[in-house]
Amino acid sequence: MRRTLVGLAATALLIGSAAYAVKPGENLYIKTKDAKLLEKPDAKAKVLGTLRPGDEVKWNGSDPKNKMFHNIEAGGQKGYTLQQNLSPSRPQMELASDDGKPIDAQAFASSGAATKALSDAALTYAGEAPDAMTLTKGVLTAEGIAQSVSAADAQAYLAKQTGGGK
Amino acid sequence: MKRLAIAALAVSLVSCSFIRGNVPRPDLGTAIDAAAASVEIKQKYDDCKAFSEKPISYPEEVAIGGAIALALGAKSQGGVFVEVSPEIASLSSIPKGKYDKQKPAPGTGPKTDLTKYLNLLGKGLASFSDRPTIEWVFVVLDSPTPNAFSAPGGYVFVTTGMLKQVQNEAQLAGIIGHEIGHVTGKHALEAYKKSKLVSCLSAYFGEKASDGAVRSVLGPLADDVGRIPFAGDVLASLKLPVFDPNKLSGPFVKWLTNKIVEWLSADGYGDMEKGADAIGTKVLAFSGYDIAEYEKVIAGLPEGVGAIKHPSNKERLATIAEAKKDVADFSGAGKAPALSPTVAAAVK
Repeated sequence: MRRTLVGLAATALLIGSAAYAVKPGENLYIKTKDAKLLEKPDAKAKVLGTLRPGDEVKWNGSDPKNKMFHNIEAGGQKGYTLQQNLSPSRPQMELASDDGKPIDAQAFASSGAATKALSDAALTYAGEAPDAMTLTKGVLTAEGIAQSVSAADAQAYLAKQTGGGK
Repeated sequence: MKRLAIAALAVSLVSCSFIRGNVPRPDLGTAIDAAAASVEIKQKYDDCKAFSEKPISYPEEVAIGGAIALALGAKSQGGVFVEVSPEIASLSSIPKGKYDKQKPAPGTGPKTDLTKYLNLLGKGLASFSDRPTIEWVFVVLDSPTPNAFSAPGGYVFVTTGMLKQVQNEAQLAGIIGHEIGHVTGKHALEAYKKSKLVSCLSAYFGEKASDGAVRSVLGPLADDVGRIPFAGDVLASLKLPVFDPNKLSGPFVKWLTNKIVEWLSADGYGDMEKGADAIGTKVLAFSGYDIAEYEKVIAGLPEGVGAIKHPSNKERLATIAEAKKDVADFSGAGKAPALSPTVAAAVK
């Protein structure tokens, strides 16, 4: 069975590596809400348009003077956007329910399926291993803390830390 | 019709032996029984394979992921490094379903602040992954061993030992990025599929898995198959349209979870570790942190320590170096901001 797992892993790696290298002319994905398409590589430049999470854009390379700005083409329009707005991979389709069809990441976010707590299966497991109760309370507390941190706050934090801005 | 086909197969086998002349002719009834048994074993194996290969929904992933998170967390033995929510601190058991939508209000203190920081950083990094909208949860574990691990559904654990070891935020981001790679790659779910397969085969065959006829169908997998006291629960779940870990019996959930953790601990993720390092490197580059800082962390890790077996540091560094070339235009060279003061306040 180990061989089966390794075989599956090899397949996953092949799939992953085929889409891995980021080269000019290839596509990247917008990850930020209301990402700006700018006329020049300057945060104060004229805004040519607004991009949505999941939008596929053609990447033409980073700006030689400021690598945080990237030349992209979206909907036939060329311009610049900040690195913080770009994601290397197309968001996976998610299966929100056992009897449903895979849906895209944004629809999944709106479906309510993304909201979770420590599952009943986890609580059942904890019941079978009494030593796990303290740990369970800690994980549940951490879930409460995680819920209090919004995706927008997290993205803004990273942009501030790495100088990406928005 | 099936019986007729089996009889025909058996007669054909007997005929072939007879025609060759020098092979003793087996009893026709015995041959029919053996062929029928072989067909039945193959049919059961195929049923189990289909059961284990069904697409896994996010609710199913989260259901088993929570149990795996607890099992892996328990191996660290130190508990979660957080001020437990006053709301749940005094409970002797957690009511099922109570916190499905509205989580318990956090406590207050430096450990809570640290967990907030870890979630701020972790969720920011996860937004660059290909699963940006699942519910990510980042947890600090109280353990002196420098370690980090993840569980399906979006659970990522970092030990206090690891937080003491990292020198800046880029290093911590690299560690978290690697774990994000395991979750987005759904690596632990391969072990989950195996545990479903083995539970099904164990329910059908039990200790008979070592018999020649069964072993010839199951192959090396027969070594993992054995008697399970909850075989009836497994067989009942096969008949359901949806396999939901939340509705399984305690012994069945415990067995599935422990098997997954046992296999991951013994064998690790194999080449999937390289996949996680490659994904982590990509996430790190796009988020704007310096990948060189992550390489320093890997170079300084003690070999062979942790809840899950990893490749050697040398192998991991080779993978990162290769991945780094592909995202050279996105590297945040020199971007290694200081860790949040919450880290020093809580653990340093």
